[in-house]
Amino acid sequence: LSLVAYVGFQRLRSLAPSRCQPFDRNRQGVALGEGAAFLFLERAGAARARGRRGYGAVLAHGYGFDAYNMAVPHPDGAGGEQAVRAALRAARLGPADVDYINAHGTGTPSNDKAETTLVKRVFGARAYGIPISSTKSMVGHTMGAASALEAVACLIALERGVIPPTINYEVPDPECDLDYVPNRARCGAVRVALSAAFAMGGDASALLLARADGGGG
Amino acid sequence: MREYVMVVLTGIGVVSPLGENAGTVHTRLVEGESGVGPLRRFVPADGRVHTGAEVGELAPLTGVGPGEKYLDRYGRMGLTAIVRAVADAGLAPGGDGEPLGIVLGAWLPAAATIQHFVDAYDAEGLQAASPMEFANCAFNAVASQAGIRLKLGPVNVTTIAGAVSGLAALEFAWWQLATGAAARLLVVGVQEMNATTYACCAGDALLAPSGSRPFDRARDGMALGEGACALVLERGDAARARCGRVLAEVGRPWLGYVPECRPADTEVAAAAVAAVLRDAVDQGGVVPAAVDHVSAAANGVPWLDAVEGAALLRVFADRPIVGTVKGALGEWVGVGPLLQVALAACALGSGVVPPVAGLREVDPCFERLALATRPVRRETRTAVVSSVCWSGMAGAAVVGVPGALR
Repeated sequence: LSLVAYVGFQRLRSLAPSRCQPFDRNRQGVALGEGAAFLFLERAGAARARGRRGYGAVLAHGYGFDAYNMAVPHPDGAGGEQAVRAALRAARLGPADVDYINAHGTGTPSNDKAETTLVKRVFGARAYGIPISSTKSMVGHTMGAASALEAVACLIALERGVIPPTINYEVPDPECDLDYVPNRARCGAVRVALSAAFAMGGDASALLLARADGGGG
Repeated sequence: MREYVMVVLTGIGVVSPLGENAGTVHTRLVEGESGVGPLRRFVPADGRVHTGAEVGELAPLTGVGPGEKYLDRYGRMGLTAIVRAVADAGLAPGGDGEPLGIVLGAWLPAAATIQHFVDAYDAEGLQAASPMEFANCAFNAVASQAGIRLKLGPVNVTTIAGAVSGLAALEFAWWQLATGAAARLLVVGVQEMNATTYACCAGDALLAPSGSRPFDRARDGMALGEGACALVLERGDAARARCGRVLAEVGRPWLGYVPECRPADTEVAAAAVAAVLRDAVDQGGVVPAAVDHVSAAANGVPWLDAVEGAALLRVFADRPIVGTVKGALGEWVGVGPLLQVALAACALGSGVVPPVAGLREVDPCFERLALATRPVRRETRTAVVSSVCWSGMAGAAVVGVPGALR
């Protein structure tokens, strides 16, 4: 946590006064967080050779950029849509293959609405059947570390078959009408998880992860 | 047989203490000019070193949306180089053609802006802290500003990897192109000399009280420099499809951490650095005996020049012409390798390797190197851009005339 981030997000009117409520109608902004995550990657064959199954498999990633505004995301989530489509294309997967989305879900009115829109644009009717959660509701927005921490959340969901919730969710927003796994973790088979991460300035990335054994848990 | 598609350099944009056109900078280097001089923009707190390679007043920026509005000096240098590189490549991003993405490598991006933002808050409170200035405090701000104004994308990535940030950006971009994930990318580096960047180097006792004298017997440190460099890299087929002019072919960049790269034992450090450089040359698509020119990282830091010089001798013997642009342009820290690529391409194209600025008496430990003590006019087909850093990172990129790399 740093003074720069606190002052800056306050000046952008993006800081939640008390708690982070992603996708809630009364959401007011981000809660800043701090932390670190490191992921150790190796070839699947090399891991098997030393008797390790691994937490999961990295299927593909994708990049996007909305070229819209330094402080506000494109209202349709254009950059995120590019990133998710690129990742799906690289992994040769379709909308039906994704079992869980760990959303960027900052809790700002503009991000959560745009992200909901992009999920609907990419996944169509299937969007309503995919559990989506924002772990930022629990650990805050750790900025550059967020995508690594959220990849860890996805890997644990894949390994244990438990989807983390979006906490502080109280009032549904008609503009954010997907399944955000409100307030309680949910058990369920997760074979493929999508982690979405966006940045101020319009950058976007998407990461597709799968169970290490390819099974459904 | 080539394992990956060819990656080519088709555009260069530079903002430097010796001008804002790569060809002009190369010519001025050949003529022996130096951009190192007394500091004008700030007074270093420690008072020990007063020289550096500063960029003077920047030319007005046009053709980038709202012009200079909402850009800090760091961003203005970056945008200027980007606009020049795009024009040099003959591209018009944002149109119907193939997308143009951007990969930025930076050492301490936005350091001055962050300092100013905090100072404003400390002095006058919350309302004095500008939200637009906060946006420019983000490390990805220059890439985003460029992306928004020039409609670049969908790849828009910023790599922060210390003193090898530029080489890491080049490596990332090369992979995106070589594996078909992108057709053309801008690789950009920006380095601003300010109180923060100066203090980081002064704290490590790297700065030269007497100016920059790489390979010289009396060298006593580096001169900090500043500027921006933007390279347009394309897949060879993408460049051919649009009849783009190819300035050079770029081999696979390579970098690694060399824990032995420390002042303690030059020969041990040189052996370890040489191993990385050998790998880099091999990965870049040439054999050491075919390398005509080495653009060294040498910046005048005594032990670091000694390690690199000994490593170059181990890998290349005395065959290639060895030069460095840092005597005249200063140390651009993470951005140096991109500037070296740009100017190595100019040397390939012109048949002239510029002399090492500041070099008066070659240190005997470098006598076996074919140092460019004066302009060397010779056809060169391949050049190695060497990067050896005080942090222990080392690596290289190979550039060649089209067809020179395997």
